[in-house]
Amino acid sequence: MAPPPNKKPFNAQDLLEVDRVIHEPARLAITAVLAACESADFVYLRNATSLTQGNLSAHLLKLEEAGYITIEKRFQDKKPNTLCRLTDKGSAAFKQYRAQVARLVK
Amino acid sequence: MRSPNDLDGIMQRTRRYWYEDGISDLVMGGFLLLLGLLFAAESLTPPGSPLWAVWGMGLPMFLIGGALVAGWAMQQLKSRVIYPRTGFVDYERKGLPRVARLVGIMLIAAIVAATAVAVSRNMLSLMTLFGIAFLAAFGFVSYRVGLWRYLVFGIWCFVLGLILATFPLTTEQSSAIFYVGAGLGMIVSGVITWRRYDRSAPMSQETNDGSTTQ
Repeated sequence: MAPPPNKKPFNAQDLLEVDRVIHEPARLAITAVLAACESADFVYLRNATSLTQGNLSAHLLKLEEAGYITIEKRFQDKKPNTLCRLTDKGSAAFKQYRAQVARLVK
Repeated sequence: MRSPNDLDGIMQRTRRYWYEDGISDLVMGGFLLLLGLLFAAESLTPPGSPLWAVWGMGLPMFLIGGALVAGWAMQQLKSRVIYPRTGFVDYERKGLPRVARLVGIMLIAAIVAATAVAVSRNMLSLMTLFGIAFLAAFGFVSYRVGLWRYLVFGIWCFVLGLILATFPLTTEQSSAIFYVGAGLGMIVSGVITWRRYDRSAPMSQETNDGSTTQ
């Protein structure tokens, strides 16, 4: 029987296979925040990651292009609000990334 | 930018964001205080009188209705005061059945009501039980979200229960003092937390979409 994917011993090829979209520190922090909740808005993400507004927007766009998050523009109390949510694909990618890194640091 | 090595810290910070402003403490404290006052009213009413029966029947309704009103009040306060300052986070997971949560609330309400209205011959164990239940519940919350103040609150309730168990009081009197004490403790915790939050995150006029802040 084959061992579970996250139990196999680490090899150099695993390092090359690390998801570069998530590996970038800012995007990793954004993904971690969204993995801990159902959704979060732009203001919270900016506070939680300490990124500038422009930086955060750029990284959110990259995550959206990769299909890892969805971005919903809406109005709340007549004010614009940007809501971000991790997709199933993003959630799976985040879990896989953590498993890969955990094997690397062991 | 935070260190990506602190992923667990980032995730835990997000999980505990709900508790960081003290509003949940203030609302919960108010709820416990009202519950204590309800027990106090019951203890001051002669047993067997119509009013006494009303208090008894009103307790389960207060627990269920109060929990729903408290939840609604928290959402309203958060959306008006907190989300414009430090952002919005939704914790409701997809597929989590609302019915299950409602059943949970009703179950807890039934257990508390049954325990409270039951005529107990052993007051010591009842008050100790209250203290242990609060310590266990808030100890778990403290561990889950990494906030020590809930453990302190749980210990406060436990000590309160132990002290009340040594006094020759009726169930209603002990419950009244216990819930009023717990409610006041939670309100104090909420006020301290709110003041800290208010200083660290003053109200700003910026918009919430990251595009137009001028």
